[in-house]
Amino acid sequence: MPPPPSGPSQPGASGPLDGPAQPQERYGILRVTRQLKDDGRSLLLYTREESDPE
Amino acid sequence: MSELRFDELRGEQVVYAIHRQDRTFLPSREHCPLDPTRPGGPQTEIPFPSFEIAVFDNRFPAFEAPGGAAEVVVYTDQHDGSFGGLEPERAEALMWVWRHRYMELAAREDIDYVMIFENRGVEVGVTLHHPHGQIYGYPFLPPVPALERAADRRLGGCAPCALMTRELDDGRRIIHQSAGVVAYLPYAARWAFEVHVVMREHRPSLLDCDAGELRELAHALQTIARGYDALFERPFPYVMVVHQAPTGADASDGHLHVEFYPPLRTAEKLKYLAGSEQGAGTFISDTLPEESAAMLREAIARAA
Repeated sequence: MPPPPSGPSQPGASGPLDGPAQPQERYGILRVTRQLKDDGRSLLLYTREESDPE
Repeated sequence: MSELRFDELRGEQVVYAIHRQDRTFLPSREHCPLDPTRPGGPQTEIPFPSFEIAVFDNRFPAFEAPGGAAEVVVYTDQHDGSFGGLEPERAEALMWVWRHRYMELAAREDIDYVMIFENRGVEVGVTLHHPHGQIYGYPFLPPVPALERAADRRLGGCAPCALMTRELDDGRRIIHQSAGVVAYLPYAARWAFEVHVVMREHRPSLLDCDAGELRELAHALQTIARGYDALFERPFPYVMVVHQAPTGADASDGHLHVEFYPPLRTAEKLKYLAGSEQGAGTFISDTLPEESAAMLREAIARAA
């Protein structure tokens, strides 16, 4: 497994995108972080969690 | 914004997305827009120094709200590689990403059909080499899924279920199977090495699959992709398309399966869509699926 993103998906980390830290969601084995790009387009970052909640 | 025009003669929509004429075309490795944004480096589509899987709205969309969607799915922050070469855990995670995107796009009123796909290789028109796929949310039901539903009606039930049973009974074109997934060259394959990867149980979409089935699907798809690369010992171009139940007002049953359309018919010869294929809609093949299946089985064994 590669290391988790060092950007906004870590609680408290500040990413290159402006604005407050984005809420995170769980979906199956994934952690989902929603962002908006500078031009308003959606950006979703998916990180695999070690445990499967199902 | 794209424009839809209905071709009355063929009874199908044509999409005019003329802004795509200027989309990024085979940039140098240093300017790949799907790489992470590294300190001191150029800004990319993903403004972070690392990531696992990223999905974003296509900068040059064929469809966009309120008339559909076009998304890019980046499988890894590593520029080199391929879907078949991903770590198995990453490929499994990708199945969950596909599931999540299908769920969210299917809920939109402006989308009638969600198609997840990957184009691999310049032979099929790839413009970015970084491992990635795409998702189109069509604001109408396209011809291929409409034909699949017509096949359901013609066969009096789920067509993929019936065809998979026939393939299992015959056996000659099966190239991979597990408890949850069956992969074969279809009896009437149009491409020399066309492969269908079909859920063994009736599953209309990824939403109906459990965690184990998603893991098996990822393994099967990677098995096929690696077998392709071993077949002629070269990166094997393909179009990979996830077929699922429609999602709009015309929504009806479907059966999750993934179809590969590889254009190679030998190590160096491409199948072109020429007179009969374009003018009559009838494929003429130079190979038999049974013989191609035997070649692919051997290649998959070599790649294991």
